[in-house]
Amino acid sequence: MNKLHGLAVVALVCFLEGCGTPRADPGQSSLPDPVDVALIVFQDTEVRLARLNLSIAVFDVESEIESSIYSAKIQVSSVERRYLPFRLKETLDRAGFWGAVRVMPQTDLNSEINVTGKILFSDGVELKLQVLAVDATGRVWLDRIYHDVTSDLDYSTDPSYQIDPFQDLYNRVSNDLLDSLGSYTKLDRDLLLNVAMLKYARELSPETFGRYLSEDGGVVTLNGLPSEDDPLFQRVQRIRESEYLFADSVDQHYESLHKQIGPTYAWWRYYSYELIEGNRKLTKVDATRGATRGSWYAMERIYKTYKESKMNEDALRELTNSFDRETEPTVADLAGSVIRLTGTLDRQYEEWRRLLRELYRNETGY
Amino acid sequence: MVIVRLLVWVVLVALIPVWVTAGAPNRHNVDFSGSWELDYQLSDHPSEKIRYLYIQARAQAERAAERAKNSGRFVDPGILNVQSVVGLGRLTEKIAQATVLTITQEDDHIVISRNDDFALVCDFGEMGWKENAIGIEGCTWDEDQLAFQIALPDGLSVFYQFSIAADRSRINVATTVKVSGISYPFTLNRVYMPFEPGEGMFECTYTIANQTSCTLSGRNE
Repeated sequence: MNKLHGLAVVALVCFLEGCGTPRADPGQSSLPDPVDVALIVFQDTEVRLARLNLSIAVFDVESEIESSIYSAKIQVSSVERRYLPFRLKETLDRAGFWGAVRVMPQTDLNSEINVTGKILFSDGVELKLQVLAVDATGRVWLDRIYHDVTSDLDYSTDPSYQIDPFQDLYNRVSNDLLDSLGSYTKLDRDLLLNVAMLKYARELSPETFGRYLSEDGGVVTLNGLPSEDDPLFQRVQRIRESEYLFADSVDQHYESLHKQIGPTYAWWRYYSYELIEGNRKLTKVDATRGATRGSWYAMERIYKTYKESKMNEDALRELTNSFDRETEPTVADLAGSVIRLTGTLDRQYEEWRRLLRELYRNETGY
Repeated sequence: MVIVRLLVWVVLVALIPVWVTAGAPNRHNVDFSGSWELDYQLSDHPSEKIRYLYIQARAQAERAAERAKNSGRFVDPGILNVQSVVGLGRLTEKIAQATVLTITQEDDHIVISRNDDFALVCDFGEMGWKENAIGIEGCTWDEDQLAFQIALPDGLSVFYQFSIAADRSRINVATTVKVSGISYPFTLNRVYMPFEPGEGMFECTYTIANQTSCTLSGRNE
């Protein structure tokens, strides 16, 4: 009896506090109406200015630390944090205003524009993203929370990873970045390109290139430029190019993830939407037409939906694990030698940067 | 939504009289790991059990109706609905359909993979209740038995209790399904015996995008 009493207390506490991973209760929070946002794309008639490169770091996840490694949600989050940045990259590529847009395993502080994001909530019905975009000089282009909700229309056909129900959100991020870009003149863009390159040079050799930049409270100022025929600076530019080549290879990994896991992720999101919406509808039916409750058909349907969602979680867990385990080794060309990098992308990236720094030291003696 | 959650919890509390405090450790060092296949001889036969319980329920309903008639009391027709035994039994049969279990168990977690069904996963470090998209689920050690509980909308609850023989010759999985408004739960005992998974003719993989795809002896055919 004590055990039963204990359970009742646990149940009550759980009920009041909401057990498990925190999830906004769709029934308790009012969702904004879905809004259609058209993507602004580059028109050939526009003036061609130097294109800025964008680096998007793999997103953070709000509740990652609190979640168990065996919970399905964390497995989905593990996919989402790499999958969603690629959706943003695709959108920015489609918009056509940017140079290379790359998804990177880590924040690249030396990129011309660095975009980071945090998944605050994602369940197929809602997506809430915090997006921060900062340029090489430390100027904040964007620091905003984006929230999008889906409707029945978004899931009216079988889910396809090529059509994202949250495309409006990515369109909005792209359009907002474009707003900031619009105020950048040719001079501003050139300055940004120079600062980004010198930040990279400074990282390789602070003694040589530190004097060209000064930094105060995160704001970077350009004090001058090395001569165009400075051999050390030319080396830095070559090494930067090598890093870009590697970054392109990393980017291909994310594209491969996108293609490989995209259909599964799209189905997961579809099921998640169906479950949440179905749950919401069931609640409404129960409240208004009690007679439909308790039929064996309804019971079987509920269990079937639950089973499908759980099997989906299993499939995602397996896919995510295999992606982590089987990340293909990257073969890269470094100063005439073929380098084979293994391990997670994160580790490969670190290793590549270490090799580049080593190469620079060997070549220059710095 | 709050009302639904409350209902789910009420059902949950009512179903498990011996559910122990969340986070109970594996004090008996029970190990379920291995490959297990259904032992048809020792397992409940759903149709027989349904027929038996149907007859029992009908007799009970007739007696209750008789008593109600004599005393002039009102009797909830749901309680007397013996047809629900069949419905509940058939639903339980579907839920307990797995014929093969592949169990991996570590110090901190267990994954019970079931053919044509979802895996039951328990993180021993985080036992207790977790909310998912549609219901609430949890797992716990009840002495030397491992229990899983799923509470779904409309008062549907599923309870799995895993126990293993001391000589590891059999695993019993008691699957109990209960629906609010029906006074009796339905339990199916399914017994599994160990087997060595060999090289089968087909190797099947389930993915949500491609559903189940099979290859002959692991080769693409």
